Amino acid sequence: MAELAIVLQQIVAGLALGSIYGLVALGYNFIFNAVGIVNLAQGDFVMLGGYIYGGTLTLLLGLPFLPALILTAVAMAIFGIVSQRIVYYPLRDAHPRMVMLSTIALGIFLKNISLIAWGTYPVSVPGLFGQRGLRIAGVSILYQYIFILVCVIILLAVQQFFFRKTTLGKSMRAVAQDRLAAMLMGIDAYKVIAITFAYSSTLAAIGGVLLAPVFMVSQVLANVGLKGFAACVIGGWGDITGAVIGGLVVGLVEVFSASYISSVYKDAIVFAILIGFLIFRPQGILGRATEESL
Amino acid sequence: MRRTVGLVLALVLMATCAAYGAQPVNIGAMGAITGGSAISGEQASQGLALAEEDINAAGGVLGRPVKIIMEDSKGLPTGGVTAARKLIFQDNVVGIIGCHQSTVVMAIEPLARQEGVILMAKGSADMITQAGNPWVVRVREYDTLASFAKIQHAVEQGYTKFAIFHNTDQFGEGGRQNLIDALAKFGLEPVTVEAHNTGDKDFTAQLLNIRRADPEVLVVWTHGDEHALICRQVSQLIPDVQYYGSMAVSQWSSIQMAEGTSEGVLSTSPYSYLNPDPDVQVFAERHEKRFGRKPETFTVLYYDSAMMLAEAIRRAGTADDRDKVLAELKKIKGWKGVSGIEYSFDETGEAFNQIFIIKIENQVPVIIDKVTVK
Repeated sequence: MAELAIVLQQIVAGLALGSIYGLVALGYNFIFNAVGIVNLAQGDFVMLGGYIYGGTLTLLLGLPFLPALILTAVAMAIFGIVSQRIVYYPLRDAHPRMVMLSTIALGIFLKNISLIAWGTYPVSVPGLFGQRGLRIAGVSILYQYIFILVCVIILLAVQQFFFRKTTLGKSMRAVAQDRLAAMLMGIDAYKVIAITFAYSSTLAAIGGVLLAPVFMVSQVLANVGLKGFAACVIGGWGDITGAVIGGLVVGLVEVFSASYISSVYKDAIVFAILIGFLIFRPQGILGRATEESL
Repeated sequence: MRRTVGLVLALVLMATCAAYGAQPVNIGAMGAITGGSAISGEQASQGLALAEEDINAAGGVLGRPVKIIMEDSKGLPTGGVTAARKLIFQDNVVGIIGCHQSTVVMAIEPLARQEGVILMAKGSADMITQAGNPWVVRVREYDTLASFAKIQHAVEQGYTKFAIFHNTDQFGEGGRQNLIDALAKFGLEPVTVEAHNTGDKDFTAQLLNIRRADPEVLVVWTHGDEHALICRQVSQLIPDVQYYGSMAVSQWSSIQMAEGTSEGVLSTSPYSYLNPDPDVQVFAERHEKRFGRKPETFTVLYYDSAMMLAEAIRRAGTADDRDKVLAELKKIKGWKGVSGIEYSFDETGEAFNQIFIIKIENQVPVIIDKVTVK
């Protein structure tokens, strides 16, 4: 019985972590779907969202949760548009690799600027639920984790609907598949791309807001970007459901490998699986095989 | 008229030169100002800023002002060596205060020995003073002191089943070995040992493994951010275990970050801002007024180090003959610092061998006991 409770607790932890990685992976996929590049600063966007929400709006200005969340989303949307103007637009005709390099630079810049702006102490905010949780049969679940899971499911549904049913979503997919052809069809590709960055940054902002109460906000928070990246590779690039499944796989692998193999090498194990996928199944669990390279 | 103005200007200039003209005595310092452990560097800088003020308000040393030059080690050996080279060869410092990372101290220790520069280390690894470098002194609790004090205190409470949860960096690995050695002194061994990496955010897997081993005491050896998150997760997953943390958990900032979940946690530290000692209180109040937060252990240890080094320069009567300054520094006995600890350098270079047992009660770090190791 005690053992069962422990295994259940492990599953809960794996799913909770996994949904967080899945959320980050959604942000990656959005930009990937629209412009065919991987925004390697996605984790730093999450960190920045967390800082704006926790450090500035909550602690400094004392705003309650909902206004702080909305303002963070707005601020990050603007930030997304500005950053695409700086890191993507000037390089729009260069190889995608160049754009990815410039997103790495943006990430480094954001980490350092946040150190200056918000200082070295991790920002800790209680969020809606603080450290309270449910306790059922020896298994404890933070309310915040349930909240994160619900948010991820909602965002997943919204995103599916958006890409399949709306004109803007379809234009985004068209721009991703062939920018020139899309432009010839009368799509304002650069406007679409700007909106993509805005939305992806907003997703990152929500990630930061949701994560702040459980992980605190510090420069280290940006590391969730790596796990989100692994989730994308495992789930399949560009596939929205795949991103979430990939996230859950990464979360569960992390918790179970730490429990039964080695807690020190849990990250190494996740990344070994990532490399395995890149070699043997680069299209991921749900992705379709393509000839294109990144 | 013009002549009068000129005369006044000349006089003002002369007066300024007399006051500031003397070449300052440079004291070097380092800590991580950027990077993963930048909190410690910030605490150090704040302590040093106040020390510089106080030394110069008391007339400086040898009729010259003191300038404390703080460099960024980034918490990395490579960064530390770059910073030490700059301090030694460019700024010609009498001594270097820091770094707070043992790995950085070990990386710059050969340079200090070669160039004959005093190193007032803030790393806690035992090897720092065991390397036989005469230029190294340590103004911080050393790991065997902290680990022995914790285990002795826990054994006195009647606990026999210990789990160890440590960071995998050099600090944590050293701590793990010291804890196992300390347990062995009481004829005990840990029921389980688990580890985590710096920057980890979720500790469920390790804490569940610890729960399986069913310990009475969980000794955690890690840094502030991780401590805060581990406290939160322990309160969810193994609420009944008695938590003994390392120094960082008793820090004001860690208590805030733990959001109430570190209540009842025990730890060892040479400092608590609640120490009723008047010197400690005056400093803590002044620090809070100036920086808006309570001083932490590194703040006061860096402050005290700078004050002692300045005193050693005064007693030596020179800032150029570093041998003489070092000899005077090592002669300091019973120096009362703003940390609440009395410093007396021993032949190995340790500044103190006593430490407080601290309990977090009602969200503040309360001193409940003091352990002295002979």
